[in-house]
Amino acid sequence: MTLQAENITFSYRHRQPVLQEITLDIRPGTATALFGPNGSGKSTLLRCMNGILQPQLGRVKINGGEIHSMGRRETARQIAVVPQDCPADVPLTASEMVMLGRYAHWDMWGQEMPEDQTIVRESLARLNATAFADRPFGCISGGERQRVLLARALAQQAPIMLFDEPNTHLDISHQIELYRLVRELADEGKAILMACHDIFITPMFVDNAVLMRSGGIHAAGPAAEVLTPENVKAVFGASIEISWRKDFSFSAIFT
Amino acid sequence: MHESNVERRMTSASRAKWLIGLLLTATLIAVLISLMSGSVTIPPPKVLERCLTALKGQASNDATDRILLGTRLPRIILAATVGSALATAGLAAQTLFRNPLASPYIVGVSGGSAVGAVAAMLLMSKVAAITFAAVPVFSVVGGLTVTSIVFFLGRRGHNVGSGLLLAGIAIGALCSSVTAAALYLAGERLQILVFWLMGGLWRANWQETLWMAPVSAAGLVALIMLAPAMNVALVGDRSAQDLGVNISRLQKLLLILIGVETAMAVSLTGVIGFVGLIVPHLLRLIVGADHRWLVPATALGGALLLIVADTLARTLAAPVEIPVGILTAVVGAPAFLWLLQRRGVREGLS
Repeated sequence: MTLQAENITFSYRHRQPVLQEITLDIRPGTATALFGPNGSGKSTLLRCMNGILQPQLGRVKINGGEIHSMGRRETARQIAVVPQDCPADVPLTASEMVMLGRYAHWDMWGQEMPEDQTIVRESLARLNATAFADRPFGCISGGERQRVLLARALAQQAPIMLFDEPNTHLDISHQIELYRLVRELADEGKAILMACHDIFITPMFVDNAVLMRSGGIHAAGPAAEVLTPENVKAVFGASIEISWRKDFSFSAIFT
Repeated sequence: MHESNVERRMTSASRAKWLIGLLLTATLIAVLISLMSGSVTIPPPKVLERCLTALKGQASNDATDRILLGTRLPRIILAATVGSALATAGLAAQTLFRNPLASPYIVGVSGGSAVGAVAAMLLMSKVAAITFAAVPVFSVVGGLTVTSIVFFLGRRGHNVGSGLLLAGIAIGALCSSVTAAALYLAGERLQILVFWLMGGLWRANWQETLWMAPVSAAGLVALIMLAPAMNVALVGDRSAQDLGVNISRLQKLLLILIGVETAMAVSLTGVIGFVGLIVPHLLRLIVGADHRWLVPATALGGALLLIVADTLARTLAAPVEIPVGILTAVVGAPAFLWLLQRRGVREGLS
């Protein structure tokens, strides 16, 4: 399953365009990180890629078919989204939350299949979330909630996965765990696009990087080629030189 | 760990089944007691015997049969269907507004339906084209209008919970003043209107029952089919869309359901408050938030509550009848205050 944006331009209610002529290809087996300062259009781009927002120009396609001709349920079987956060007042347990990932696969009566239970259990186990599976979603920590949301996206069993700054509430060790998972999923053949703020560690785990600046793509390609000091300076206004080594370590020079 | 997870889910599901069974039994017992009691007490064996003969199509049409089958039975069925419609409309409102304290009564939908119904009743005597059949239609229009206004106003605010309730209170107040103005102009129809507004099933007959029953049944079936989507909607609009719910379609369907069910109930029985608030909220505490169980439980709970309330209303002060709306408000208002205390601070009313 390939997810493509072809020249999309999007604006909210005819104001200044938030996205301008974005073209992006997300292929199976690759993980792409989406970098850019706050307000550069990362989240809007994800919502266009997911078919929730309709760009005024250009189109988004899944395997060549236009995403806007697909229903929400059909889209959810192809694309799973890991949100940044979820209201904590949801009156469900962690495992019930993960079960919602199966919604797109149910018939109209919402009958749970025996395999749904297995899929939910496996998804929770993969995120090391089994220990708090039965606790109310509102009573677990922010990091644990994020793992539950990840498990929910896994339970959705979609070939394409979008992550919207999933590391916001995670401490450093859980961030690394998350990046490892993203790498594993890409190696298993998923097509992954991850909006993210961390330009230091993420690039070691993804294949491609896209740098956004005020609604447009400033640079795209292999991560090490995209995150050059010039590009980082141009997009973030920060003078940083980062170099990554094969042994999963990096050094950064702030000038 | 895995086993305990499966076990817990099973106990929660079996607890829901158990509760639904209990509610069903209680409802049947309430029907029987309600059939027995009234100005003439009919002993249970006779009630059962008469009902069975009637089912065989051999009604004898004596005094007992007329009381039992002509007066009490349609009234009980109307109570059950109105109770279930109000309760399920309340559950739908709680999902739509993402607020466990929403109900058709609180957000002003009952008031809007009442305005429509009062308008129809007043116009009936003036305009020939408007007959009694227009009352539910006017009522539905009033109910849907208020639901839509409150919904869109409540959604625009940042704090959806309190924004919604405040919009509902304001529009509810507006509706009461319109109704009051209509009463002022009512002339000789005043007494009928006032008694109707207080909420009661005293007018019940087979015809009204046959209007209410299909609406109630259709609403229940629709809500059972929407239950999985309502579960997903608990996580908020954006995530629900990501998970495959067409949220704007769900909201439209819930809006129509709330408007039609409430308005139909109001047009036939007046304003009966708090059923739509207390029943779903209380059952959620017992059954949990899974709408696949909560919807049928709520429908049964609403039916049971109104059968009991109406039986009390017509027997407590017999031969005088207490409007059932007064009875549900006396029980419901303190219960609502208790819920505010319990959950208000945590659920966005602060």
